[in-house]
Amino acid sequence: MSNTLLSPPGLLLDLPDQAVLAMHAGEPRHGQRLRQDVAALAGALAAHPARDWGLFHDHGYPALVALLALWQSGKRAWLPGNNQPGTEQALGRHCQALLGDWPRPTALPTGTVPLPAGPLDADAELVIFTSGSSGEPQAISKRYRQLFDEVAILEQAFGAGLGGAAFAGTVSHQHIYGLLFRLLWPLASGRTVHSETLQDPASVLALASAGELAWVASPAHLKRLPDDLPWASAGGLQAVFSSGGPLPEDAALALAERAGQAAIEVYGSSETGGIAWRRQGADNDDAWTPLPGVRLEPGPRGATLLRSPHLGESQPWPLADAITLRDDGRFHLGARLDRIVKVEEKRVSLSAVEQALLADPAVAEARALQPAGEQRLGAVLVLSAEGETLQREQGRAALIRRLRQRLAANLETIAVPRRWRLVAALPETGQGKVPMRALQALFKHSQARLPEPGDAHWSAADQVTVSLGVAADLPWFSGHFPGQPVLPGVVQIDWAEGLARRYFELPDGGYRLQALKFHDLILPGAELQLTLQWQASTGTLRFAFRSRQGPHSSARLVFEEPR
Amino acid sequence: MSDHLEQELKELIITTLDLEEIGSDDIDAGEPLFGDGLGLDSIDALELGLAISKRYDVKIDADDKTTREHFASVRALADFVRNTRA
Repeated sequence: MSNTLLSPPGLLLDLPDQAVLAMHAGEPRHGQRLRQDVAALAGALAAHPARDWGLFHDHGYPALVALLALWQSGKRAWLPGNNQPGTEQALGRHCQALLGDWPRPTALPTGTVPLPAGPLDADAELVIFTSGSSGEPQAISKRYRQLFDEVAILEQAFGAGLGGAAFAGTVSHQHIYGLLFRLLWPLASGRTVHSETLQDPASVLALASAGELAWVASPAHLKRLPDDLPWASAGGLQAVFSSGGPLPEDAALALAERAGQAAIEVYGSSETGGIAWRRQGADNDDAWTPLPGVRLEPGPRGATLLRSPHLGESQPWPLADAITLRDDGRFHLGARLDRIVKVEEKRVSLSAVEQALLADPAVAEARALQPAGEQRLGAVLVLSAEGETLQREQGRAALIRRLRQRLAANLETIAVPRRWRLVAALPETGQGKVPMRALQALFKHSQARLPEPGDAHWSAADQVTVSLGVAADLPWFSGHFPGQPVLPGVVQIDWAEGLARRYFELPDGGYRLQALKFHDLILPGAELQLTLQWQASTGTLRFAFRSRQGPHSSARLVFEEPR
Repeated sequence: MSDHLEQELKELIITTLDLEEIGSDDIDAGEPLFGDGLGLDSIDALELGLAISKRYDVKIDADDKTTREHFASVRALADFVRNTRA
């Protein structure tokens, strides 16, 4: 049986006086107390002229009181993801006043008369921001009615399995997922809100050893759980929710095994609200099931259109993720269709990262990407003349530190690239495009010891020539051979193959070496031309190293058929 | 003054977080790990906490207010590990 929800307009009036609605700072907060706290704050807010308030609280209970008081007093609440100086400055464009845990919150009038609880306006407004997007966060307006409808659907979908469980979270209530799951849903369904945003899973399990509990979590925590958590004593754990991004399968299965139940993952976004859910490990299926009332249909250009009760008037909504619909109504989730990537559940705009990099005079060209299989971003840069000078005089580490610091001032820390590739020129195709494959190739570990090629000259669609300087301080020159350093033949073949991967789509498997010829030694300081020709039909890569002195080496690499 | 534990922690930070641009000599034991200094974030803190509790068999309570201070710098971390193990 799911719980009965309070009616939206009467929410404040109907809160049961004696029920424990929240645990805050170790003490229970009953319905009567919440009503008093809201009335007192609403009275003060009503006496202040500002209409738009930036709301931030470290803890859930005061955030809930503040939100209800803003609505009760006819104000509009703006809920930013953090209270950092940059956020405060950006909020200043929309809000005349700040409420809660800010360095300098707006002074409220004192001695005002409490504003007694009345029906809440169904159109009362809350503005939220897209989760941690770098660049300009997008503001999204939600109506009280919309939020409440979403709560009703959550109760319908998941309420029966929860009983009277209290809610605790390791995600912030300052984002829509935490706000709905940690505060509004338990409040409207008569369950207890744990006010503190917990960091440590052990704290969550301690609560679950004392009573029934639903854990509002995210993949960031769930995929990094310590091995030694006391699961056995956490018998009260009724459900683990996860949202913000898909939970990797191995993390989902490990959790299901240890916790004795699979996490309920919820797929959605700030703009769309909840869309679907799944339980990997319980279902043997990683497909998503639409939430009640949600419909998905194929749209133009590979996009999927969403129709949902949470969308209000902006129907149908084209989703930013690639989606494969199944006949049984469930679906598989693919990659993003735009230049947004998720880094540990936070949206990051690659364009914004590139803009921030280009704003530094040391940078001439910039590409940001998420290297395959990694979370943190990588950046590929071509330095400007100023950047080259800086690198020569202060070194690569100092240059990158400077770029990191510049980015950290403008972007969320998580959006600052962790891996950097400084190249003489971006790897371009004959058509002048910079293919993602070539950028990705730069971050493969085998690429770490390749020399940096200069501009690529294409003589045909399948043939490219690049210039390479052979630095005298390459590791291969030391000890090979004493007194007469030369570039080993095996290194030449590695260079040819590795560099070819930036320009052509070579198979991953092994190859046979044919017609290998070494004409002339390659010495430190040599200026080489490397010509690469790729014949896809036969899987053959030809390479030749030349310099002013003539040919140095050449061979054919015949790749094996992929099995 | 070179401290063995500090050196070990620097290397643990670099390998745990896969900081390919940074060598242990680039990390000043006194500089802030988060924000302005090394520029680590809350996800890094999570991973670092896991790695340190595993390597040194110390218990780290992420909800304890003092934990933040222990993670302020390599030096603070070294003090924390030393005192907790003792």
